[in-house]
Amino acid sequence: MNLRSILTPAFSAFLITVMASVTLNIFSPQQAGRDDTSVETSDIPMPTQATDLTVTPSVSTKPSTTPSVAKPTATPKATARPTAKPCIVTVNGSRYDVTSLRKSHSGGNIFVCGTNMTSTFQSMHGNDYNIIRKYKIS
Amino acid sequence: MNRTSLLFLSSIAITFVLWILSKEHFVLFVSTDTLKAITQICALIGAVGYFFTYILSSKLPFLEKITSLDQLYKTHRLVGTLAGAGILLHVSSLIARLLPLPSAFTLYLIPSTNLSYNVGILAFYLLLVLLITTLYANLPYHIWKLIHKLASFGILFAFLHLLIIPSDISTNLPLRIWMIGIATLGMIAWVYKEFLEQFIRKSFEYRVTNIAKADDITVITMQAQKDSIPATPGSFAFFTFYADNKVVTKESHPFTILDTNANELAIAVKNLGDYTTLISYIPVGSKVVVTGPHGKFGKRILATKEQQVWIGAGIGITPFYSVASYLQKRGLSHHSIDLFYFTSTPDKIFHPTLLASAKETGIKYTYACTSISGRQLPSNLLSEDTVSNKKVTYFLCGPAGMISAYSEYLLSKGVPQKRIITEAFEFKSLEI
Repeated sequence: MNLRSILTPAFSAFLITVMASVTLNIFSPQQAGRDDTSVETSDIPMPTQATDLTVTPSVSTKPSTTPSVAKPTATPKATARPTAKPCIVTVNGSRYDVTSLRKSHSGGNIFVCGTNMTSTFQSMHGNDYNIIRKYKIS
Repeated sequence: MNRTSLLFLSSIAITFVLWILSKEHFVLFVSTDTLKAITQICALIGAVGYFFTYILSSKLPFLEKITSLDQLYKTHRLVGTLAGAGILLHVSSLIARLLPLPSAFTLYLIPSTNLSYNVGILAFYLLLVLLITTLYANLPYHIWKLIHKLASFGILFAFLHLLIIPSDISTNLPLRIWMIGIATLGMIAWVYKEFLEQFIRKSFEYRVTNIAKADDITVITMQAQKDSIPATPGSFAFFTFYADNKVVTKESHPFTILDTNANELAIAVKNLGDYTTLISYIPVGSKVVVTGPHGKFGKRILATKEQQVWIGAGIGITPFYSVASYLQKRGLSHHSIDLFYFTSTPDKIFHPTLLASAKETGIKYTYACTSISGRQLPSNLLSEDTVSNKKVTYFLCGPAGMISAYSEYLLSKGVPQKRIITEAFEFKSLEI
């Protein structure tokens, strides 16, 4: 018996899976310029901080290319900071803001914002929705 | 199947049972999430095999009481390959489960902030290095051995991954005890081999007294400086050569001990083009450190009283040569031995001596040079009368391909496995 005959099928399966995931990684809509917040910000309640920190060009006599943070205003404007954009996913009919979870999730950042991730959630966590209760927004 | 293979299969069976018992509704679990079930069982089998390979290659003294060292290495190669296949399928099914999520690739193959994943990813990459360099790249032995040694540090990451990954191992106590137990044994074996063996295992210092060369074979004779190795006919040992008190290479190589005189021993080194070339030019007076002896091949030959067939190819003649010399020196005769020896080029070293000892000991000796008389097929070499005799024991030593071909032929002729005894110390051989 040759050892290669044992390993080669497993290696082939691995390479096929990796190639499939790499292809999806490269050509997925998210990578092709899709906004992380495919759910419109107007659809959801904005986090408090986002309404507090709006970005406007600084008023200055000196030419400047760097935008500065203006004084807090009460006017809710769409934020220009990408990091402030929420990532909303749907699980079992409810919507969750997983923006902060993307960094702390023990399984890594698997979230595809704006999609229904019920089946992915159930495959990992079953029906234990309590574990994401604190991220529920509607 | 040797005893270590049985031990491995038993470990797999226990792991499988513990995994089933760890599930409240096993059938429901497998039927509803088959891919997850595949992921888990591949991980468990892969992990058991992975840690088992470290135990098998550790040269821990108790292992050689179970089976001979070459058989341990043979099982090590097989179990290592199976473990590699298991872990590859584990990672593949993990990725497949997340498809079509684009993050499937990054999560399991690119390190992130998650420690339990990161150590698993590192261990996996080091395992890939081991598998590719062993099974798919034809590297010189000393480079392959260095890579093998460095990549073996992956056990640290694998151990940590097993300890901290949230899984059945972390939630089910019997499975946790079992898996951590096996992993701990693997760790102990690795620490022994890498750090402790050089201090614990007794070694013997020799000095080279003579070097004789003929074609691609170099016979090195050496004399013990203090204690001599307690070698038995046909046994082998590991040799580390020094030139001007500097180590030629840090790696030690196994060679069969040809002669077992009181203070002297001789080995035959076939020039294979790398390390073996280097040591064939070692000067007389050089220091040699010898550890061993290992192997039960010669002992089994001497313990067999019924008819025997010895088949040695190339440098694989050395254990037979050693036993034949032993019989000759002690004036022992053995009329029920058929010795077949073949080489690819005419042999000027062993053949003349074997011819002489065969006359004195009564061994029926046949020599063939395959470049002149053609390939020695088992069907041509062994008569129907011989293979149909159920009391004949076959001893085979040589390249793995030759051993495999002869073993398969003998098994096809109904010779029981227990009567086919082999020795192959090609540590990189892909044939099992």
